[in-house]
Amino acid sequence: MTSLPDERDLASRIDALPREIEPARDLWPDVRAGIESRAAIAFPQRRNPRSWRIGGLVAAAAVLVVTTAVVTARVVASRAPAGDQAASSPALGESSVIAVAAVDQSFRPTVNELTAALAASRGKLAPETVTRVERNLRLIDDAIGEVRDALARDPGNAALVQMLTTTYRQKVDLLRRATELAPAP
Amino acid sequence: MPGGIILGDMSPELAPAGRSEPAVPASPPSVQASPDDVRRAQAGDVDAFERIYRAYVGRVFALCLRLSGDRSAAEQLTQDTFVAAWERLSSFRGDAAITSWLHRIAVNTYLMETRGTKRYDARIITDDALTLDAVTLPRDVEQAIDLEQAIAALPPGARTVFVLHDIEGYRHEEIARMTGLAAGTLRAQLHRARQLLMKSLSR
Repeated sequence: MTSLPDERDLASRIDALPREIEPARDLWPDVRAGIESRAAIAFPQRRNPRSWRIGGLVAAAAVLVVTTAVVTARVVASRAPAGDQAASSPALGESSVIAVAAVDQSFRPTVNELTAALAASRGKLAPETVTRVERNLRLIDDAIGEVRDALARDPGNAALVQMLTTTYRQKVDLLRRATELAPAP
Repeated sequence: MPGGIILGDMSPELAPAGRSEPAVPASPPSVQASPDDVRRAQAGDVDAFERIYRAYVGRVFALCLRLSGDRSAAEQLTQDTFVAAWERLSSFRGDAAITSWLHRIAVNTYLMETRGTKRYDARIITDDALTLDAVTLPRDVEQAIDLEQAIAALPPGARTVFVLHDIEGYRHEEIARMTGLAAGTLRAQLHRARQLLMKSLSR
């Protein structure tokens, strides 16, 4: 009969765990690719909050991302006739409703918090900045609505759930960057 | 000190006996990144950010591996963490160690992904299955590897709480805030994790 190690043994084994574990492959090329793929939607830094020299690029990139989401949602949904979902998409089945609710629930607090922060700092932003941010937020909200409509038609489509997550992230990212544009008090 | 990690204190009533300090000491990473690298990266220097990545990828990957329990998922999570860190560099003020800043981003990324898509946790086990006999844990391997494997085999909820509290040193209230778990659930998950691990290590 073996005795259970006590919590002191467990603690000492935890202390002995390695602090660093190297991944089996170099992840930097993928990290760099991820950075560069998002560089196109970079906002100006705080030190120059009123500069919108790349504002056109920002707006174009946001439109591109959102348009892509909407078009993809429509295409994916149109390829999924009722009764043939398993053949056309990764099936989530009944859990998709739960998954969509989880997506909504996970992003709502952050979106609400950032929306409130943006509203509080609205007066510190240039009017054209506010206009651009609001325009892009409307685009993203429209995209979220489109994806949700597509999900209503094709509730078993995991790709649409992932797209909803991505579009929400886009909204959080835009809100976060917009709030960072406000000069520090 | 570059690479120093700032950890919260542990709740004495639930910390493993004999634990007097956080599990991860403030030891420097094997590769150093200078404070100047942080400033350069904040100014958009990707090469400087690569030096930061090289200095801290081992620590971030270790955390991601323990949180996800899966090497492939940990690689993806590590990538997502560093991409998110690049995007949020302007918010890093240097008043905390960059290690703890990166760890916080990794934890948030993991929690957001698991909440939204269950991408990193395919092995969802309901509370009903959270019994000592419901989980098959490894045996007959070298001690540290044994513990790593035992951690990976924990049910996802218990694993997350155990890694955050006992390994990363987050306080109960911090974990509750990050995960949305009620205090009682959090304590139960932590207790179950320790019981499962001690049972595994006794084999």
